[in-house]
Amino acid sequence: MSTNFYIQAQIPSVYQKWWLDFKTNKLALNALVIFITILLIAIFANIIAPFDPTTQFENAAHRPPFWYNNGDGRFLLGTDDLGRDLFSRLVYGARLSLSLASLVVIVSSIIGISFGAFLAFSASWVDTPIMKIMSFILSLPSLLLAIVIVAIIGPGLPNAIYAVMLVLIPHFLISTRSAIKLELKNEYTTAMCLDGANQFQLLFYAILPNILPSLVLQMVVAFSTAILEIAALGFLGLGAQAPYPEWGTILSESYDYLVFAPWSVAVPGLAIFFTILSINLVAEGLRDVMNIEKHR
Amino acid sequence: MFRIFIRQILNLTSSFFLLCFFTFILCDYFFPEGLSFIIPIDSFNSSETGFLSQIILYFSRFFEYLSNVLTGRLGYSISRGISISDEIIHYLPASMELAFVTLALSLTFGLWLGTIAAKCKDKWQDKLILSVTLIGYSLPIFWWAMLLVLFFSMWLGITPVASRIGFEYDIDVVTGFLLFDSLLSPRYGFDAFISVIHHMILPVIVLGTIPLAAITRVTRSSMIKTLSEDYINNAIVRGIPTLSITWKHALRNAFEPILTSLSLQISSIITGAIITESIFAWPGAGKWLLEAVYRRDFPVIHGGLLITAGIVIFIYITLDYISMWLNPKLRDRSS
Repeated sequence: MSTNFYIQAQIPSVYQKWWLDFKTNKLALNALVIFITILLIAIFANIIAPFDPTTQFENAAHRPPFWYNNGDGRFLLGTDDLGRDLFSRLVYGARLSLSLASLVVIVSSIIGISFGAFLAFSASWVDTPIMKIMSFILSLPSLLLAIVIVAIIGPGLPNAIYAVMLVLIPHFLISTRSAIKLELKNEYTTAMCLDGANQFQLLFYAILPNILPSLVLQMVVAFSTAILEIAALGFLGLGAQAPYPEWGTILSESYDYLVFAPWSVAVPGLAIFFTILSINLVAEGLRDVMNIEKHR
Repeated sequence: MFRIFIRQILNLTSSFFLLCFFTFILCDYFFPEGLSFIIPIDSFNSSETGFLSQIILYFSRFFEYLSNVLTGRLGYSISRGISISDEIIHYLPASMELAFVTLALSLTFGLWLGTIAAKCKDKWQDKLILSVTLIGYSLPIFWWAMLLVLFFSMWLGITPVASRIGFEYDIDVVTGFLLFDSLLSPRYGFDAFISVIHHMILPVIVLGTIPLAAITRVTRSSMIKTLSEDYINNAIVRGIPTLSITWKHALRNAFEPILTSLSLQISSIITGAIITESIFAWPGAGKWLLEAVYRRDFPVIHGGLLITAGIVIFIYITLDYISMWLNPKLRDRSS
């Protein structure tokens, strides 16, 4: 039996420390579990969903969920006005919403962060006008801007995605630029400059690791914004169109039957609500862990 | 302070100029024939092909556009043939009424609840307020609106679901704000006013949920920071009543982050107003704009974007001025 005589204090790395801190926050941890569950449901949608989201069952329109007396065991959460299984539609809707939202966040964060880094490093004349334009776009209400963009390029899911991307880019750009500008004032970056690091080395080895927490947090927040915005556009009939099982679209379809079939309104909304709530709770937990100042 | 005032005015002008240029480029690029609703069509045709003369032409067209926009000639709606500026005057007061009431209520309650939460930090009141605001912050407002309609209008039957006032009332338009107009018209006495309030309850709750949650959270965190300062302890030791300490000493100093979050909430209110108005059939600018999008009525979309963005910019810069007026430290930053 080998015993370690040298009792070494295990010093956790930064990421381990974040995780250890995060674990103590029970609420955020539960939210993370819920979010991962939703994510898994979205990934394995074709296994979990009992039916195809667009299959219509004749003579089965407006079936209530299973806990009602006249509920049908086949349709877990009931059916909609065309006899499509609501549970399958929601599961596929999770896949659609989450994948589109992550696509939006990834594309807009890559564009925003790279342009922001470029602007922060190049103290050229383009900085001022671009910042002026970006803060101007940022000041416009996001959904209004998305609606106008959709109005110009026409309704439809791809166009709604472009609109939400365009709306999110300035957020990333401005915060990256100001964060890098702040880091550049610190002494460690000066030291690295004196060591002869070029700007790429400075960015990737010194600055990015330091601003990573706030960027990750912003991506998490942007993720929930993207889900909400896509759902809102879908609800207003400007995003995903009818046959798509998108959460906002499902809600707007079932709004006509609000009195007659209240469950078909309540359940899709609950899906959106729980997704957003879990993301917000995780973001809150991350904010506490990473010691980022609340409410920017 | 006067210098800052001048600077803010310049800021406002440049932002509005940028906005006009932005809308001009959008119109010009995406539907040049559509721009004819503002600029006479003959200024598009030019025989000159040189680069410089093209640019000159472009800018001369822009300035023509700008002068038309600034004098309120925004063209005519394609589907209804009404002048856009008349439509704006007709629809905007309804939205502004909703927005003002929402903002006033959510600010009042947000400050109140946030202060309570900060004073009872880590007690059950604080936890309750925090969790409720977190839920409120995560609600998709279109779903929230449906739930409220379902519960209060369909099941309990105590609130109306649509429009601004009961159909039996015929109110003369004086200011466009029905809250005032209903009091001004002598025909129905107080009943019309009650009806207006009655119609306003659900839209205001729906629209105000997110601003209320955000303001409460900001107030709480800012007040916690302020209440732990030394001068608050000093005030307590001096025997100043607690109410006076919280509302006079602490809240004033805690107000700056609240003001910043308020300006963010303005845009969330405008965003929410589009959805809320379309659900509750509130005849305001948001619904008007959305219907124009459905009909692809470009003059209306253009006019709506211009006026809404103009209002947002104006509010932003005013709030910025107010925060500089409140906090002298912000005044001498270079902008």
